[in-house]
Amino acid sequence: MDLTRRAFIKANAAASAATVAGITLPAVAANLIVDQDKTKISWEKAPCRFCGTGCSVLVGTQGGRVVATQGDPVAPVNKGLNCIKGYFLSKIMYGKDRLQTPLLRMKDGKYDKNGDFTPVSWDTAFDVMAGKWKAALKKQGPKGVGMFGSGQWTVMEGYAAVKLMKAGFRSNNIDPNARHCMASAVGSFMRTFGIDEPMGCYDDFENADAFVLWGANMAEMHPVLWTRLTDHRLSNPHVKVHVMSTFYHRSFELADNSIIFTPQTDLVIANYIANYIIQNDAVNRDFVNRHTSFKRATTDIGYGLRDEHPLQQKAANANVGKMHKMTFEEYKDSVAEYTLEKAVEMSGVPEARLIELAKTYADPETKVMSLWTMGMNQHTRGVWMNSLVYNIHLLTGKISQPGNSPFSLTGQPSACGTAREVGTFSHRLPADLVVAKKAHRDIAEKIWKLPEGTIPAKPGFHAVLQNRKLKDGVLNAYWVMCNNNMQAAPNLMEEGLPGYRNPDNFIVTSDPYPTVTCQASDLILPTAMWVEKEGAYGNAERRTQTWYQQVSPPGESKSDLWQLMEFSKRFNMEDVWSEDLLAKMPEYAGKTLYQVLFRNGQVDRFPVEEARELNDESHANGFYVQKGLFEEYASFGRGHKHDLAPYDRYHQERGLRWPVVDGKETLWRFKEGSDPYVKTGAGFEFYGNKNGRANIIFAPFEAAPEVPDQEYDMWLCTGRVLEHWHSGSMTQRVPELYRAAPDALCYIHPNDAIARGLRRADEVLIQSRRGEIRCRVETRGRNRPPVGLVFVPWFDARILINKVTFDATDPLSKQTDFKKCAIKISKV
Amino acid sequence: MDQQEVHISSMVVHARPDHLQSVKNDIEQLPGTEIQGEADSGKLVVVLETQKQSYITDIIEKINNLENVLSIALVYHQVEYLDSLPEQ
Repeated sequence: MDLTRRAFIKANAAASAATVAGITLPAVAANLIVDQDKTKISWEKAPCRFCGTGCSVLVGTQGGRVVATQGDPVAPVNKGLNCIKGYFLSKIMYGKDRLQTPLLRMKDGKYDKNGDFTPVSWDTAFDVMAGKWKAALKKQGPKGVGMFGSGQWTVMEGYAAVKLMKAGFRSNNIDPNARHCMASAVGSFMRTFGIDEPMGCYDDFENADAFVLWGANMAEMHPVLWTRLTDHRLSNPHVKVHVMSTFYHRSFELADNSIIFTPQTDLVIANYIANYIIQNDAVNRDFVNRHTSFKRATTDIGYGLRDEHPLQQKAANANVGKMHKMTFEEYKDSVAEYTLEKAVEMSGVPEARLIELAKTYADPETKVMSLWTMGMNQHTRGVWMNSLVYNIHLLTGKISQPGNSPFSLTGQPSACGTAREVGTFSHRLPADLVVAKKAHRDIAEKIWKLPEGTIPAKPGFHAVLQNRKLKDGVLNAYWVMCNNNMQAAPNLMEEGLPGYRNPDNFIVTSDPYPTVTCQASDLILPTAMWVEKEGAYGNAERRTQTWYQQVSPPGESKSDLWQLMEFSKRFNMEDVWSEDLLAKMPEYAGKTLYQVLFRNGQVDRFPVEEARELNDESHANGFYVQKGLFEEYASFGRGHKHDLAPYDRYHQERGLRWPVVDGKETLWRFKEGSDPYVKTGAGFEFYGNKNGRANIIFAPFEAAPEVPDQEYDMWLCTGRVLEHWHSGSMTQRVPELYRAAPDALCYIHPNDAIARGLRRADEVLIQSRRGEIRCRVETRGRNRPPVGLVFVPWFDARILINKVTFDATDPLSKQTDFKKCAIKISKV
Repeated sequence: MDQQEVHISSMVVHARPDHLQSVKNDIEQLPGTEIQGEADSGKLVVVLETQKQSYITDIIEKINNLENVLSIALVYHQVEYLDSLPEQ
């Protein structure tokens, strides 16, 4: 049989899928896959560009272009599968409107804030930009410059950025977009365990007896993990799935126990479960006595708004994160008010469903995996809420063992690897160090070969505060990299846009595409993406993965890493450091920032010959840039519970989960036998805290800052849909995809629609106290809200839902609550 | 650069095992789909050929929305130019 090329590719595709699914195909097809010649495609691994799952993808290139992708069959995360978003991977780099050259707003041949975007050279771009940075530093000092980065930066990019900002410009005004998605998770990890990131791993999916989704639509947002969960559920009839949300979504299709609760009452449900466990004598006393401490959160802490906001003024302890010791008896009394009756009344969830959920946790024989993402993190009490779930696992000792796993999922490919582990937050340094602690700054200054006192002690402006400070004219020179914050940040009309367009400010955005954020900026820098550069990402289960550059970027596009390093060449130390500081290291006088930060004998110690022939950054700088940065960064964590393997090894592996000790990865932390840092005989050790104990932290229900009233009578919840990823700046470039979900819809209950005289597909006006948008009504489909709530996704650049959202944040984590504000809806 | 493209992709569709036949029937109604393998566990190997105009994600979305489909995963995807794929 003579197979045509078309038939060959099809057979090849079928054979790949059959292998993954464990299905045997007729022999003729199976024999074909070895015949690589016929496709002439060269294959290399890379972690997927999209969510935080960290699937490994085989990327097929031909003639300098990515033409094919395949789920990596040997990858432990995805075992050969990709989700639908994998389909975009071969096209995201080839959108027609890909930026090719720097673009500066100009009028009459000069930069002008009100000018039109005009192509300029990199030299001109950096000259103008450096001039603005120097002016801001002169006028405001280090607080006048800032950077908004990303959980999509590679590890090396985030590391170079944090070093440039905190050591170079001596400004802590750097924050990642992960502030919008992960900050509450981080805050709770630090308060509960004293060390960031999940103790368990994805192997828990095959070991649990029950799954509880606390605010995650995994079927759409983490489809590959959902597939693993589905497989385990269907092949083990005793396994149960509990799905909790404020509206019905696709994950409910697999639910054995469906729980739709009133917004904010997850706080009540979690405390009810803790109360149930105590009342039914299901506390694992040995575990609790040996491995936990009880704490009480400070209450009435406000909503992370501007200090003058009435809600902040009203709060007794605005922004206070202090915890107070308490006994088990006091804890027991504190949760006692969260009775079944109260939980039913406040949450609106039927009694039987709450009992079933509580029983699942209380039963010592049932191994439970709790899962959550934005539903719990984008919450004005997100840090509390994360801890309330840990409380349940700690009371029952269901933690750090296969299948017993409270698991915080992430939304971005390197929210963990870059934003959290590298520490690109305004208060952090690498490996969980923080700027506020002198001992921590000392460590960073020593590794970076800097004089004592270089890194400022005060945390810088966090994401939401950056927009406020731009608006107030305090932050004047601002660089946005690898994110679309004008579309993503809350309260666009009152805070975001006025800040970017403030005449005092110069805004630079680096992106592959002309996003909303680019359009609001003054200078746009065309940026290389994904396999157009070498990099590393860290996923939600502590797995670090690297990839090689596989194609060249288009036009004059350059990676974020190249841009950061190149920009640092424009500054002499005298431009950025005080005389006093420079006097402590006179050998740095007359040098450039680039020399001090990146030619320090460490970052530049691996010769360019070790790098691949296709590695733009290394060949531009004359040394193996990615390896040098990675190894210097890794020195922060090695021997300190954050150990990474030698860089080269990651190119041989489908990732390794840190800490990597004696060449071995760690699957379950804090448990003797599986975590090398736990002392023999300890059983468990929560070594992030000095006393080795995890904190069970009581926090009560406190209301959301804005709840529906007579005028603004509905809850608004925002989020994502499967076909688009975050703000859609990459996925909306794929025409086929764009068609699949072309316009953001307003999902609403049919009764609410009838009450407002609305029919499906009607255009409506959604108004809040801050702004309004128009969109179309959907009363059927994948998302089905209860009466009183609407859901609007935020991927559509033409329907900017953040004109409507509220910039209230968790006062502890500074993460915005995009899931709750009050709106009204009317027919246009 | 409006060259005619052909997208060939393969997927694993996971259906509720007791409804496998009805899901198969539904998928076969969709243009460009071929079911190339199946297992009693409820899994199907679906190969999809679409041209640019036929909107691959529309079809994926349709499959995903079918009753008793639990999940759909992409395994392989390749873009080819039409002129390099001679008809048999």
